[in-house]
Amino acid sequence: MIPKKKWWLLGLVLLAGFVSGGLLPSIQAAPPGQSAEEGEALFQQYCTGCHTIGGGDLAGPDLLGVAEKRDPEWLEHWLAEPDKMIADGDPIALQLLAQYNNIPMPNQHLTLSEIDALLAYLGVAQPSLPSPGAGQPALAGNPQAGKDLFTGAKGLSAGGSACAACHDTAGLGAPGGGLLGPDLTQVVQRYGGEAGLRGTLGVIAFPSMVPVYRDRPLTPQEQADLAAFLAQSAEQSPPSRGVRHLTVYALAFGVMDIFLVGLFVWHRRLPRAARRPLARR
Amino acid sequence: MADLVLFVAIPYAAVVVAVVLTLYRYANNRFSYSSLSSQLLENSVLSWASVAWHYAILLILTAHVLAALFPGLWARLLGGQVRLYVIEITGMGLALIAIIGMGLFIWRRLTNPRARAVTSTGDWVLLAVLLAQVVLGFITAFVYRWGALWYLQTAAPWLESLVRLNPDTSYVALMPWVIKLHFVGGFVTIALIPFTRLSHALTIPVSYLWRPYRLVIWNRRQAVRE
Repeated sequence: MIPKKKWWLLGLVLLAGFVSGGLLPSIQAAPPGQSAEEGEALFQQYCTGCHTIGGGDLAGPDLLGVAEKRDPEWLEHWLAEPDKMIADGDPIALQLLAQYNNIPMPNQHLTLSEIDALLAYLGVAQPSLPSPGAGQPALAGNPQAGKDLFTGAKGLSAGGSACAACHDTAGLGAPGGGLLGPDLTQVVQRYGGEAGLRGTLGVIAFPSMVPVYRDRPLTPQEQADLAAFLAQSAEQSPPSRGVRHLTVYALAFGVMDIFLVGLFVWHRRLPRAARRPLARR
Repeated sequence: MADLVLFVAIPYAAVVVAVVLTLYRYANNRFSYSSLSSQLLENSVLSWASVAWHYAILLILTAHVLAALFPGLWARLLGGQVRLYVIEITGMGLALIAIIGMGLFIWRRLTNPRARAVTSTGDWVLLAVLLAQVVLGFITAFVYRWGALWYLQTAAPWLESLVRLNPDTSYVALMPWVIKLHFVGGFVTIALIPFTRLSHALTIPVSYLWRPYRLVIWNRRQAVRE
């Protein structure tokens, strides 16, 4: 039999083991060398959501000739930590931010060798990459199908979360969509039209959405349907936050009242004659 | 770093503390597994508080656990706007009932001298943590709706990563602080089980939910008349 005090020691040892095991940082593998081909693959993976090369602006600028236009050191710094450059008030970064509807370029946490590969690619890239929307034979988006995907009435084929979990739009009636993320009513204008929005939905780069969709991408048809639905709802003005809140508030308190009535009814059924003297004690 | 402490270290520490000390208490002081009922000391407020709190919190807790254990089933249950609204609004109503119940518990122990006399520091800590937890839960549900849906892609995979001993905080790292507090508060509550009367939950006294009420008959008439 272990003496009483030793049990605490045992607990502490177990605890320390669990905590340090959980905190062990993963060791990253050494990055591979860089080349323009690798850069092209990285560009497809990380950038095509918002950028084209010679295909026109989407949510972000057309990058044709960007290597000549910008100082290489600035470009390298920008690819490494755009969020920090904006926060530090870099003049070019702020000008770009203002020019592109205040949509900040997300930090993709690229490694140095990935940045070198991207720079190598951007230096030689020809206008062969059409914009995702314009290049493909235009997939017709169905606004009604898009609404079903948005609300979750029809699940996304890869199992991603329905948009309404976190987003509202004027296209939904009260009490509307979620409030964890921003209202998407006017999102089509901000992200370069329906084609631009399709691209954004194709390579989802918003930091809080990356873990949700990185293994569950939207199909091109789903991108088109959602963009069509959001383009349709953009014709209305954004829903009033106050009305949405009030609806949910009233409903929640209504349900609470129903439960309270139930509680009162249950209480009345208790035999009073026997309870009263007991309650008075 | 703060995320590692909040979403890895505290959860594991809480579960280890809960399991190890619960077993210790079971081995050494088995008779203490009790809610230490003070019903005989004061029953008129308690009967309102206890019924409201327990029915509401058990239903809410069931929803949290179901969604974490069977995310696919939960997602299908919520498919479609109307079903989402019904479940969410019911949950918010139950949360309000739980807040009322917990408020009554606290008010009773503050104002009733007989109940107050048997209230320990541990009880106050437990009452405060539980009240904070249901208030944070209601704010989360109301301000950051619709949590019944986003839970499946944020909290559920994070909890699963903890169970698999391969913690991944990326799912919850960018949440607003109110929600983070609610997450951490859940594990703080688990850690309180072995130290407080919350241990009565481990006996899973579910038959209380449908058993008939019982009457206590006093045979000292003198005391009643006083």
